[in-house]
Amino acid sequence: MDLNMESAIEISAITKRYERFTLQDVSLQVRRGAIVGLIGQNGAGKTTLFNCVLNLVRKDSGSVRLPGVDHDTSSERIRRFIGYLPERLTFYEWMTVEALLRFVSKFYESWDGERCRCLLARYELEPGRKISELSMGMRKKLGLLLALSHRPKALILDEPTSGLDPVMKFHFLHDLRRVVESGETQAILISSHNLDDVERLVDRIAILRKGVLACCESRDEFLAGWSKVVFLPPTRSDWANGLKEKIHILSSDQAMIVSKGDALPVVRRMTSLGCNIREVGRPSLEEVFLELA
Amino acid sequence: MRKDFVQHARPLAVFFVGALALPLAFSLLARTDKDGAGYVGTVFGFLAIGAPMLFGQWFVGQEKTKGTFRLLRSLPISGTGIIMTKFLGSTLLCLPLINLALLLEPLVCQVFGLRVPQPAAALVVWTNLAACFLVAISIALFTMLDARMATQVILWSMCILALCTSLAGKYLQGPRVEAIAGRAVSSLLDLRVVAISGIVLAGVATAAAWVAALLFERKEWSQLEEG
Repeated sequence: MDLNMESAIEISAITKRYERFTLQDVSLQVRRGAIVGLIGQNGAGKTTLFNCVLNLVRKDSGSVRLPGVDHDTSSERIRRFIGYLPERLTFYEWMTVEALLRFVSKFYESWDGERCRCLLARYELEPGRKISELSMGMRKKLGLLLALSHRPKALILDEPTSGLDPVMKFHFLHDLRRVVESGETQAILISSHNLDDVERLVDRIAILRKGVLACCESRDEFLAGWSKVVFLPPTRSDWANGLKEKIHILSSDQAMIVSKGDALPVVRRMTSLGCNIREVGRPSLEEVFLELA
Repeated sequence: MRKDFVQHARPLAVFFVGALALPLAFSLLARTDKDGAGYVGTVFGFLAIGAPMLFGQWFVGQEKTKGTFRLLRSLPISGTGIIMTKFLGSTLLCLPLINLALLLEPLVCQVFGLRVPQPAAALVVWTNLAACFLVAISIALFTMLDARMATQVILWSMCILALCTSLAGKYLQGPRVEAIAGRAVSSLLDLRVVAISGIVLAGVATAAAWVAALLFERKEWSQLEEG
């Protein structure tokens, strides 16, 4: 319960075993002022990890440290400390937006009515509208509003941008950056399959693979360690025989190789195989993720 | 608690109308206005046994089947707090409804020309105790079991209870049985028996709800939704 700790969320060697899946010894530090993107394929354990941090599932071993909160005994304080947006949102369908906000606000001493009103207007949510009439995107906005309106010290967002239109997504990502920069929210842990959003927003990237944390490093360092080569393959069919690298087919005549480290050895090898090099550069997060998958 | 009252306002109103209409219909059809025995049985069965089952389904079962327990669990309130509030809320709602129905029923019957006496104080007390106890059992069952399974357990228990009552009525006859029954009924009217039973039943009810609440606290996230 160290109030002066440098991390907003410190996860140490969390293990959670299910019959067919194990989240194995995951350690992750979310520093104050940082936005960490947790990426991984479906079933990699992202939501399980979030649920362990929020004490929504019991971890088998390991620990979570939040400043000023005893993680093992005070689930209520954890949920006051962390604003949570689950992947699947369930609301009372019979309520109006306003009634739901009134209901939820009573659980938080730190509920900021003014901020809630601002976000209502920003997300274009009508207070009098019934929840059952809201589209998926509108529900997502309502979930975000609930997660942000009690001024949490940290945010955990599970697929926050799915279902949002590009304009709303832009506003939302901007809002997230702003709340962290202003120091209002100390840190954000976000998971998304929309890797462009993750790349644009986060400072650090953590990759979960089959329940194991494969890496966690700064976004720039992570991406700087990779290179991509886009090329036109030769017409003969056996050109790729014996090639160790994974080839990503981009179109009927273009292919790509994403590799760790410098691109030069790959360029030399591909040229020697008769490939016509079209582009050499830094891959996007999505391209690296495809390579790692 | 308020949320539950608002959410179930319409079914509660229908239930209340039913609580008045069913004994009335029964009294009109069976012409039990002379001794009021049928009326007492119907009122007791409908209110003290039926209401708790319905309340368990509405207050806990529906949260499970609609997945809204997940919303509640993501809020800063403990699982124990959620279930104990549900127990308290459903009891606070069930008891006034039952008592209002018990008091209004004879008046409604009078409008239809039936002479149904005001319920005896013992009947009112025992109906309240039974309801309070059964609300807790119902909340506990709906918390611990799958909602469909809990409904079946309660329905089958009611069927078995009805069967036992009718079998007892058929086979347990004679002056000795009548004497025992008479003593049992008079002891039910004894203030000390009522007080001790009330304390025991209220204690067992609270303990049942508390155990259910503790089990709910330990439920995994994935177990909070059915359907």
